[in-house]
Amino acid sequence: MTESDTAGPRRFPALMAYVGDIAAALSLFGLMALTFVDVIGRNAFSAPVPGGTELTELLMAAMVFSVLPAISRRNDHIVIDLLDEFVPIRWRPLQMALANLLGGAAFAVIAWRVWVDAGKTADYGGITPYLGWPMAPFLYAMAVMAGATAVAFVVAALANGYRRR
Amino acid sequence: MIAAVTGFAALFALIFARVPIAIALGVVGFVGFGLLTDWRPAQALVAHATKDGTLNYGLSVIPLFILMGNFITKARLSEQLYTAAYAFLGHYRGGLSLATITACGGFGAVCGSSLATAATMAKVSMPSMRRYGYDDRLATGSIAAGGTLGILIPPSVMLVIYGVITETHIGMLFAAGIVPGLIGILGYMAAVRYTTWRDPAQGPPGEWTDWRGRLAALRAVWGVIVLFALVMGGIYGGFFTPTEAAGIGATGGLLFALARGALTWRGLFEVLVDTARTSAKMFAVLIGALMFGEFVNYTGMHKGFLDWVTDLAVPGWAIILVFVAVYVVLGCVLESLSMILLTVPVFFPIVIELGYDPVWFGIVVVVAVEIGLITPPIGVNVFVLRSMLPEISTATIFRGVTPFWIADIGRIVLLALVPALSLWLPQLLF
Repeated sequence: MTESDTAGPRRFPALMAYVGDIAAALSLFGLMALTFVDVIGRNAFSAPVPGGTELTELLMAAMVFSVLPAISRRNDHIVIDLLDEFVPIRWRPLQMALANLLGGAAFAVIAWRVWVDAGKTADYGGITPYLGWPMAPFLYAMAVMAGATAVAFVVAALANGYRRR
Repeated sequence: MIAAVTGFAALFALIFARVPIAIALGVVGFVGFGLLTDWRPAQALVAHATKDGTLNYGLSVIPLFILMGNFITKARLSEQLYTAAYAFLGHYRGGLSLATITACGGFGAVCGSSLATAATMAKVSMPSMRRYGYDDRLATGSIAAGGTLGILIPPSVMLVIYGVITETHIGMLFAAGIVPGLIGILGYMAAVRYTTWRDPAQGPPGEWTDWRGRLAALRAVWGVIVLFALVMGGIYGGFFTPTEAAGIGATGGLLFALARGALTWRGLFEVLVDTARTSAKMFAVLIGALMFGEFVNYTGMHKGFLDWVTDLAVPGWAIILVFVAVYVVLGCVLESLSMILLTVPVFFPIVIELGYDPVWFGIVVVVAVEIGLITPPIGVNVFVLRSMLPEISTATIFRGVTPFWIADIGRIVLLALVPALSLWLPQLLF
């Protein structure tokens, strides 16, 4: 982390991104360890990890949603920049801002729909198939992180609008 | 059909306007689906696609194979691979390029990504090619082209994605990639020989290594062999599924990096975060592609396309060659993941309807994607090299890569017309 990341009003987003990185790293390591233990357990001791499949699924979602806000804030999504040479440089901030606002809108819709879905899941008491954990809290968490991603897109749009390149 | 064409046009307009591919796919899919049906099912689609693209057991194979490759990269295996290849090939004319390509192939056997293969091998082989006075064109061309082998020689992230979206057996796809990968190595070697035959000054020979040195160099690459054997052997021996193989391979990569003392706590954290970010970016595209795919499905485009192709009554191989041509053209403007996610759902039903093998088509698709990685104007591998070697111009690299590109075109036509080249090994094993 560079000094400017930790300075003044930038401290909070940088801290959040760091927390997201840690969560993603732990989820991914968990994913790897889980598969390893599951395979060894099943082949050597006929004892696979109980609920291994659903744990894998939850860890996957955790890993992806932990880093999506930071990726969006840093304009780090996969883009095709083939036409960059043909776009006048002073249009670039506007172009980036519009693209990011569209991203913000898209993730706002995702957050809204997953939140509604979480509510429905809570209503009918949806649980994971093996361990019987309630699904709703996980879905609410996904919705919150999608919302954070939407905010990150909007922040990126504003930053692009201001920055001169 | 008009709806589908409009959708694709809108999609490309957004993508070329620099909207993130994930967002463009999702927005066009959502709006298109909403206009065709109603907004309620479109809203349901959003939640469904988001859950399907993340809370998904089968997809765990993607981050784990990427993780394996990243651990291996950290372990600095690439140096030993290059040394071993050099010991056998270095004394030939263009020998350092031949060694680079062979080492890329070996690295591809434990890494599923072309970018990582090209970037890693550039660090190892470029300095020695410089020392021997290799021409920039030949040097960078062989690294950029050799790097593409990473996504064909198993494990391969792109074959995994093809397997997931078409529900094709990933183990069979992996086995099918081996022979075409070797053909790729031979083709690239021929390209090196041709280049140095035309202009010997581009690639002078290196030094001769005696057999003692060769065997010693070969022994140093045991790690690659063990890891490859572990992952592939485990799949074919039935000890674990291809999905689980990714977790085993990643653990193996971790142990290997640890054993070589190449991993600090900080390094471990960086590898994990880096892998998570790479994967999350891919998953965002995947979620968008699920929405877009649902929209395209609803337009009935597949059906219309299929009827049209059937009415044409042209031979199957002609249609396959048309598909190959479409891939080569698309490869000029799209990156690999979106290319696969956009085309495979449309082409796959037709290929199956024509009676072709899904495993074989997967290989054709991935070789086509490989070609796209070195085709101007956005050959991704070329730009990776460019960012690592800023003093060499993009045009120089593209000029250097041309003979390799021609070898690739020959290879894909061969693989398209002779399915047995891809299929005999998986059929032998399964």
